[in-house]
Amino acid sequence: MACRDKHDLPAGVRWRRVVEFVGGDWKRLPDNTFSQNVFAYYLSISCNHCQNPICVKSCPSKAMHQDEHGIVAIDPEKCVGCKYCAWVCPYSAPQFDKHLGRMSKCDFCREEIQQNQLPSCVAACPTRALQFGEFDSLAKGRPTDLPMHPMPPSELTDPSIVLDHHKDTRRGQERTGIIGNPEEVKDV
Amino acid sequence: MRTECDRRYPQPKVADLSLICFTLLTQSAVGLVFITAMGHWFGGAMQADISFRSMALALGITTAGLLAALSHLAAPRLAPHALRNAATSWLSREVLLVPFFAAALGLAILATMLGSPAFLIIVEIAACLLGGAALWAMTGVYLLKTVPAWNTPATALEFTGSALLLGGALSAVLTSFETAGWSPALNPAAAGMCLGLVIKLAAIKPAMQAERAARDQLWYQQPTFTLSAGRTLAMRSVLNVAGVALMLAAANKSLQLGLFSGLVILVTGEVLGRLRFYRLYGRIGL
Repeated sequence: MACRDKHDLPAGVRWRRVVEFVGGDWKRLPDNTFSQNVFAYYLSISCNHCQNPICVKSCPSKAMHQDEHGIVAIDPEKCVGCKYCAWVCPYSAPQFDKHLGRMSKCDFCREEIQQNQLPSCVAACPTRALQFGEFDSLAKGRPTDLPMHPMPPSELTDPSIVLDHHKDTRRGQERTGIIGNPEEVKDV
Repeated sequence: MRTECDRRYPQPKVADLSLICFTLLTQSAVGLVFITAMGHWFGGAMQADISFRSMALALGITTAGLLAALSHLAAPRLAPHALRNAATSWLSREVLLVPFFAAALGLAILATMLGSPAFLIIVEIAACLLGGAALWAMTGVYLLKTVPAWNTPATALEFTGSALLLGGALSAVLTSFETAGWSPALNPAAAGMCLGLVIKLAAIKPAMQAERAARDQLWYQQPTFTLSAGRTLAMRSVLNVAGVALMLAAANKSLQLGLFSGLVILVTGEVLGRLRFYRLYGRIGL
């Protein structure tokens, strides 16, 4: 909401999406009691300003570009609205804004950062689940390449994101959960 | 594990009619130019007369394809910017190569009007090379590591097969205006269609394998289609075989009727197949 309010985003354009990943089941045991392995966790995901951004490589007009700080942004003077970046991004970060007639995405609240303020999503998070800072300092002591469902493999784009894994984090080939709120996270 | 919740919210459609038109028209033009050039180089003097019509038709349908592609853009006035990133973007390379291919066709038309055989051969070689490069770039646009159903050799086979199949069909129809009945002049077109058909049929198995493998990598159900992807592929293949068979079997007295009917069947099959291709879009991740 903070991001939507700050950037006056229209309905259907979501620069930050909270993905609910759920799974598990109840099982009746021989003694007529039940056991369960139900789980749920949430991922708040926006553009990850990847170190190997596939959108920047794919954009034909160089509207999608990465600045000297690693922030991936869109140059509105060059975006032709082909939506190719939306085809390729595994995080659904670039989104087409019908009102602007071009692609739009999280720009890391560049203006706030330049004024030494926090991005609006980080500032608004009531539980301090979102943190902002230099990638190396955030990554200290934390694994950055552990796969985690439903995130895509990190080797695809080297996302600049560090995740503290939930106790019920699911990973591996076996898919034991589903995205529980696709209507909130799917593309427009 | 999939549930009804997943099924209700498919991935977005990425195709619209403009992209289907652009890809099919451009591939048809590339195939037509290639087959015409082969006929000219190995077919003798009569084939040279057909070159003008073929190049003109190829230029016309390439131009129509480019206009269709422009209509896909949200800001077509900024389209020239799409040439900026040919270093890394396959889409930029495609935007660069297709107009160059069209320009080569324009030169080929000029060469036929000037009656200069040497110039015509040089320009035909250039048109074939540029057309092949444009087809290669078009394939690269869809070989995306985040879209597993497309990132398969079947995509290259499908596009090449379409080029030869439709290009051969167009060449056969054009050539029939110059011949009295079935003649050796139609052989390059027939060969192109048969080769295109073989390639399309060879693409079926890798396409189905890629589609099955892709389903296990996606968190969202792929968009629904009136027919399942497998049945659509089967229908497309039946139409391809029927169209080619009809064209090859067209007798002297009903040659043009048979060829036109076969062309319509082939185009129908290819449009169905391309719709299926785009409906297979499904992206890894969120």
